[in-house]
Amino acid sequence: MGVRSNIKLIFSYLKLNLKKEFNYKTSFFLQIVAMVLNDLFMIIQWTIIFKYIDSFAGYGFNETMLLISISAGGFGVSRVFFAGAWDIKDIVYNGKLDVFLTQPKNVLVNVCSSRTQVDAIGDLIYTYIVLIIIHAQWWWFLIMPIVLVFSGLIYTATYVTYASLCFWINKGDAVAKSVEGTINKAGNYPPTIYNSVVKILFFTLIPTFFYTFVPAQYFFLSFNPWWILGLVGVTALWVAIAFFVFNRGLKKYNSGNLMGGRL
Amino acid sequence: MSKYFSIFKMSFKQESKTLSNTLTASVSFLVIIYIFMQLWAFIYGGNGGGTLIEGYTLEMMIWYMIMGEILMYAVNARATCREFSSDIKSGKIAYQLNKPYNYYFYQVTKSFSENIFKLIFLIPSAIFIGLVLLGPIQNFKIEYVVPILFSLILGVFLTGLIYGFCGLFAFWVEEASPFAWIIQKFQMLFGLFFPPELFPAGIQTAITYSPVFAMISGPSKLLANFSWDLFWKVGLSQVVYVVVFFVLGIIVYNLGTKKVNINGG
Repeated sequence: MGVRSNIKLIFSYLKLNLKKEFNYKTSFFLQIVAMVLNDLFMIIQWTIIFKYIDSFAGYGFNETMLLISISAGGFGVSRVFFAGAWDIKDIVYNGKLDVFLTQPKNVLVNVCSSRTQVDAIGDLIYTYIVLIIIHAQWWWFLIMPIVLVFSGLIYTATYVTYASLCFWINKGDAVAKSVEGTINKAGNYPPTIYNSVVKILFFTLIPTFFYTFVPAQYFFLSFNPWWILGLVGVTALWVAIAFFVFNRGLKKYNSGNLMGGRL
Repeated sequence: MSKYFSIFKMSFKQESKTLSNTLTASVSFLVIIYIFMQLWAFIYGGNGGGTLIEGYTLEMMIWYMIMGEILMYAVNARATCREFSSDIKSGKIAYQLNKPYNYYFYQVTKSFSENIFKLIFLIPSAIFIGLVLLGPIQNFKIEYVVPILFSLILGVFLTGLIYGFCGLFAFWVEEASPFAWIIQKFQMLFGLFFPPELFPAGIQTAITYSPVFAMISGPSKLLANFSWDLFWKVGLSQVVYVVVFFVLGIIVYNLGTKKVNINGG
């Protein structure tokens, strides 16, 4: 199954999912606008914090907001394109995977792309609002989509890796939820606040720093091609691990003989 | 009243079957407390902070935040609201409205029961991490435990009532969750992250008279720095807002049910 074919599948799903969600027009727009407003609160939060401190070892207001914008955008990419990944638990435990297995597409890509979370579009919009607020340079706006693809992939791949435990154990998504919560929340804060042990953890088993800090620091604040290369490598590694663990899990999958149709 | 007590008991039993979810929430809860501890420790020790910020020591600030996090984690705002939306979108509401109970109170009772179950795990986790990383609260006396617990439970009930009220708007817009996000952010910004004293005078007054104070700031301040005056003030605010949202809930529910267009159930 070629990469191009999978990308085409992802975008076809996106189009269909958005059409489906658009049936509830008020709800569709309300969710997006509310998410933007919801995210904007973060700006007030950090304005207050910076009343009491000048910077977190070089991370002032603008730098911290950049972290937050990448965090929101990465989450946005993940939930707009791959929200189906968060259904793995339900799909596995309720035997709903059969319908995906019978289709001539990569099962994991098929599952992940099968749903779009509309409010996450608000997160993507918010990313650019933050760039405007911090007076970002023009090229930051252009580079940001590439950065968000890396963040979104790392976020999704990490979740899929841990959620695939559902194939082996009962309530296997519990670990995935904790890891996801940690990445999502810890990624909003400058790395200097964490001690060395936590930093090692955030560079390895829970790749929080590759989700926000590395892209922010080495794409935008002090360009470093080696770190960017490292980011590409780590992203590829997490995606590969996600596919590996999910595919190993598939061998453990027991069909629920559930008849299902997908329109 | 007895039927709501039965709903409470039934939901409590149901919640106990999903123990892993509660335990996961407790882990996530500990992680977020740890992150905030690191953040505030940096601010207090950093170049702009002193040993006291607006009358709060680092320990008081963290205990304030621990109580705030208990209240935030106990009530799953999004899930409470989502129940309304999903019942209305799916047409399941047709069955619910036929039952011999008020659907709004049914949802609030169910949510309250689930939240109380979560408290059984959240409170010990919070005390554990607080005592291990910070040590005991200064000037804390054993007789403060009951009023603080009372305030916490009333805060949890009020928060569920408010999110339930918010869910009622699904009768008009199908998806009420966005309203919950906004309320949640108000709750976090003006209650959880910062005590009211960190805001300018005007906003401080507004917070003190707002539901956010009754939901989160008040109980959190009680744990950080207990006084009987504050307890009565928080209690009064909580009771007033419970009555207000109880009445508003009935009004909006009655208006909303007239908007129902059953999809066949």
